[in-house]
Amino acid sequence: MKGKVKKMSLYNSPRLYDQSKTIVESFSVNESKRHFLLIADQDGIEKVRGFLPSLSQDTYHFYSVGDTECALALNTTPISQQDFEMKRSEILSKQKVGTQLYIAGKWKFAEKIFTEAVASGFSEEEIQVCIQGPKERYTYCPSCYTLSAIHPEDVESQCPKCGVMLVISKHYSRVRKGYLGYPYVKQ
Amino acid sequence: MFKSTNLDQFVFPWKEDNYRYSNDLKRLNDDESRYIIEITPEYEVQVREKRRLLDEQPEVRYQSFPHTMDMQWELVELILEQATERYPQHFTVDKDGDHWTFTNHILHEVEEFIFGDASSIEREPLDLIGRHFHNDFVLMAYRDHDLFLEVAQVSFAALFSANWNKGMSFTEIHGPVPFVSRTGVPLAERVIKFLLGLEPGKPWTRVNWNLMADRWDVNYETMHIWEPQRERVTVENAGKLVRLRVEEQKFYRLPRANAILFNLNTMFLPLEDLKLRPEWLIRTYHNLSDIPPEMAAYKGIDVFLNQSVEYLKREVEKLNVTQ
Repeated sequence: MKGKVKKMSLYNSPRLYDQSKTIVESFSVNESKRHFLLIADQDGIEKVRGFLPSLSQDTYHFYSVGDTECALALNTTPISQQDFEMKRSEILSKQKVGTQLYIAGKWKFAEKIFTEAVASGFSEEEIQVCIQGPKERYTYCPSCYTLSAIHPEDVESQCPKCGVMLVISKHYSRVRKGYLGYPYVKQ
Repeated sequence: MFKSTNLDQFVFPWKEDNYRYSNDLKRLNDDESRYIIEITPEYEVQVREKRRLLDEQPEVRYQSFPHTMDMQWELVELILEQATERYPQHFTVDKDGDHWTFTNHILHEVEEFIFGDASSIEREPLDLIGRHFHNDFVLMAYRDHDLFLEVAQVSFAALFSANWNKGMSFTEIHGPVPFVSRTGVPLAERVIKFLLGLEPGKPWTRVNWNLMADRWDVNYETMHIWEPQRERVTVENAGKLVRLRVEEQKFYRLPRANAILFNLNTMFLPLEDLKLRPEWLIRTYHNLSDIPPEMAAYKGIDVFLNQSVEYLKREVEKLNVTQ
């Protein structure tokens, strides 16, 4: 089987954001796939531990990032954070077409892998993400074009650059990487 | 800003006395209506206002991706071909191979460039030639089974932002609005399918309308300014402050770029001018009286709709008295 085709990230490439359809509470087996790649940091390792029995051992490979001890199970590679950073692109791009990717860990960890996976040719349907800890969320101020971090529960915020108040909409932009804030003036 | 003074060129949006939302798409004939370019008595005001907005707010008004140059040149060719064909007295293009000289005889301006060579001009191709016409131009490229906004020169569109909407698919752009028929049928997929089926040389059109209160510029960027101003409208001042805003949209297929041009011709008419065409006054009154509340809310006119309707009612009553 051919390996995945590396493609440039386009402006309309999928991004990992808090409402991404790839984000799940628990992993599920994609029955249409025959090969599975799992990558977790030490925060996400329990999610993978609970899921691995669902997969046949000869169908998956698991990278346990930040794990320097014995492998969790067969077909597991413990790898330091530093080594994984260097090899991440190679690991993802050498996967066979039709591989399902599972990512478990903190937001920043997952986001880097997601972005690289998309550039390597993975579609959103081929990726599942279990986030440990808070998801990052941003709002875009149209008055001054500033992106600022917000809490998942925030319905409004104040732009840190121009000070205008923003009602946070559900309108998301992959190019601007945040949700549109509708500006208003507090009375 | 400006208003339509030649009412024969104003596209009145309603065909019936009761409000009916519809796609309203129709094929353009091989007559004058097929042209992108329309010169009105307000041309100079429109173009100078557009240029002012582009110069003062470039990030808001003009957005494009670097890979769109070929697409832009194709649109420039279409615009100039149509402008010179329809208005040879106003616009000419002299070609010496790829060396083109475009002359705008209304404004007495000349643009010289090597067609297809972006290094021969200081602005991007569409940004340069687009400034000679009052239209808003939006190019949506066909990619990954959808249409994506890749170039936009937009000065007069309401509740739209070239800066924000850059790179969005057709569905994503319409995400926040109830893009459904009056019976609740989702329209986005249907419209995308229609647009993807457009043939080169066979444009279509539809009309979009809205009301504006006081402020002309009603984009996302200045929402905190114009939203409160809507509350200034009263029955007494609605005739002056409230304008009927009509957006005539024309859709053209650019075959080489495999893109769709959304050409927007925006027209404004204050409510007080409707009495110049009594049948328009009456029809506007009936339609605005009949707008569903959710439609009024999404169009942002709920705050001043009642005042506008009451103003129109009084004007219609005056008509009945004098007839």
